[in-house]
Amino acid sequence: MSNIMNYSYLIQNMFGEKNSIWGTGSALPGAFQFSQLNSGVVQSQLKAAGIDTGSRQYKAVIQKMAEGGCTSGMFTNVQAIKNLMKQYNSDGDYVGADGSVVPGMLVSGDADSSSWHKMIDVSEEYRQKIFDMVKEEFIKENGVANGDTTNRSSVYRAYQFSIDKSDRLKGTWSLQQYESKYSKALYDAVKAANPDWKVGKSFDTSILDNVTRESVEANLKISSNTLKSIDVKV
Amino acid sequence: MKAVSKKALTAVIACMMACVMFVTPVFAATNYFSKTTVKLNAYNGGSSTVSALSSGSVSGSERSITSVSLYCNVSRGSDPYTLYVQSPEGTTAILDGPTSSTTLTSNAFAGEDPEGKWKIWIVNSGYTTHGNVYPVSTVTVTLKVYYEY
Repeated sequence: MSNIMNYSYLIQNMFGEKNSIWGTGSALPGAFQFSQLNSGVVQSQLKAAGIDTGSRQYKAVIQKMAEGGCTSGMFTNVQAIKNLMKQYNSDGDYVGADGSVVPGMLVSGDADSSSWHKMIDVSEEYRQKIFDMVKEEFIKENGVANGDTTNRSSVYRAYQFSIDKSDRLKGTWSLQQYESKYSKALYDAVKAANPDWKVGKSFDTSILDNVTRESVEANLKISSNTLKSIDVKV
Repeated sequence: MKAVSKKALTAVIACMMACVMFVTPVFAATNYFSKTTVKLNAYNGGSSTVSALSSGSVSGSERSITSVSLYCNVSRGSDPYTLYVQSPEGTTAILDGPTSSTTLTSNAFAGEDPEGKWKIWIVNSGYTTHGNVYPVSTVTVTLKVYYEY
């Protein structure tokens, strides 16, 4: 069994600095007060631990800690900084421990989403991909929007990586506008052919043969920040 | 003076009736789903496990989220942490995690379709306010997504 040793307290002693005192008075290896972050001792410890203090990852972590309320008297440690840095990419974007966050898609919890509710051009490739997915799932699930089986997250993720980071929030909003209209068009087509049809009941799938991405889009127009059907009934 | 008031009142009532008759708004139907994560435990600047929560079947063909609430059941003695919530479309909201149990709300997902898998996880902030040997945070989150269709 491997034994992981922390030698940072030796480095502290080597530099002749007083150990950080932890709670009951015992010295905790690798721990220091946030105010000591830029001291020579701590910077040496960080470098000894393989941390590049000039990297964007490091800067992003320290900025996040400071903004998050880590005041000068609070205690942190080298390994905590290292663990946090693993969740950032080389550009300093938070991507999560498993890489599930697409850069450009991270927003503050109290952000006003209307600021990115803007229609931008979505490539034909991804409009077609989302249409194919919507139609396939609509048929498979008899019109039920099933969160357990849908593949929509992976289509969105692929789309986000295909466009510029600064366009990802707006692009996602725009793609979702199309998705919503495709779904509505499929529902309307089945309902028009069979007015008694209810979501979840099987239907003759040939009804949807003539519902194509092009046919749906022919009846859409961009209105303000959304996509609207042209044949709006008043 | 009284006659003028009476006339004004009549005009207001007539106007309101006209509004009700001719401009009756179309109210969208609303619904919500609620799911709870496993216990999320993050330690010394690390991330907790990612809890995936399915919306299950959602109503309507044109859905739009109106609000999202997150009840955080925080274990006593938890150190600061950050809460991450990711919608099926990949929008990821970052919230300062409360260190005592409370409900947070977010408008970051307004207008999105709720269908699919939501992901929730926490990241320990890497410093301690409770005198723990190493900082640790533990919380269970109940996600409630309200939408109209």
